[in-house]
Amino acid sequence: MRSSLAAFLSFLVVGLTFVALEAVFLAARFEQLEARILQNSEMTFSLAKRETALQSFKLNKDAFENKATLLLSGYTPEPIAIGPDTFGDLFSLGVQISPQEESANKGAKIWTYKLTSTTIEFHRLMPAIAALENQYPLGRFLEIDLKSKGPPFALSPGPIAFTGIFSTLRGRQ
Amino acid sequence: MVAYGIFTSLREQNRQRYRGDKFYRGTFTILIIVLVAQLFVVAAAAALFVAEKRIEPETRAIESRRKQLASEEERYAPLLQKLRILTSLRPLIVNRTPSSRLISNIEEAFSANEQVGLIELKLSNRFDPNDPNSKDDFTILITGAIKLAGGNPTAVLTDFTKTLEEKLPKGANVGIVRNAVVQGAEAFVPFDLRIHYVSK
Repeated sequence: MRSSLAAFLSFLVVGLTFVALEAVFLAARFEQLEARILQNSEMTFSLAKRETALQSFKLNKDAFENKATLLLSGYTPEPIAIGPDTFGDLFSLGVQISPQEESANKGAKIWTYKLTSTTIEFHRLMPAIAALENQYPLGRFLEIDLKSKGPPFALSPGPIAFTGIFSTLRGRQ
Repeated sequence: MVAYGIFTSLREQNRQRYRGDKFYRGTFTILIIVLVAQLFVVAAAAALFVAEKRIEPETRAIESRRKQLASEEERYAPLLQKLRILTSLRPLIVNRTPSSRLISNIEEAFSANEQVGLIELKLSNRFDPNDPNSKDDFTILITGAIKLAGGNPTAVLTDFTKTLEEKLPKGANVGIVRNAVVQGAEAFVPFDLRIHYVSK
């Protein structure tokens, strides 16, 4: 092979490779720049949305806090302490309330409480039951048994035998 | 340009061959092209560098805004966590039918039928706490009594059943388990009803 041809071919290959590599490098940097610009504009848009949401959240924070506390009342990792604040009129009226043993099972998803009474009239008991259900939006009576202790069609209201099982969802730790 | 003739040495003639050899000329052209290309590459690289420098402050500002926002959101994390829990439990709250509402409906039906009295009410709710979309599935067994003086007890019970269906939420199914049939000389005729209701 002539030395001039060899020099020509060598320069051609090296020159083309060099220019091609530079072009690839520049193209990659250009794409990177484009991606950065796009990412910036997307971030600006998403940050603006998040900031607006946070502003409106801040305005309603107290209302959200109150509502959340109300709706999640009773949703606790521990059973509800039994007292007038937690069982309201049912406690005040003298209903026997006891947490059920099964609730101690760590796998249980609910806390259950047994309620019994034989001294309260129907018309006093029902508002108290309704109030308890209103107090715990996640609470449910799984069982209610109401039995008249007197004969049917009694002219004056008498106490009834009441047994109930009330459950609240068990909160996660 | 000084011409090199045949009187120059062979070595000099070889050295000067690039002047007439087309491949040497091509090599030179390639060299020139590569060098000129370098000018364009440098220009493009400089433009890219300038553009990158120009968006750098914007990128830094966005990053600092993002960090600030994240730390501000972190302050409300407990409340946001509560709201997330509420969102996941929403169906259980929205779909809940309080037992007291159903008992109140039953009480209204009894009040509307003076000849019918309640002896016992057994309510059970087959609610599944493991299913976040579980619905209240109530079965209510009612034991009642009908005054004999009021006419045909079966007709009274049928009327009462209709009243119950009207008072209870739509979809409640009322069935007679034990019909009110007169047996002996008792003042009251007992009956049993079964109500089934699944909350919507």
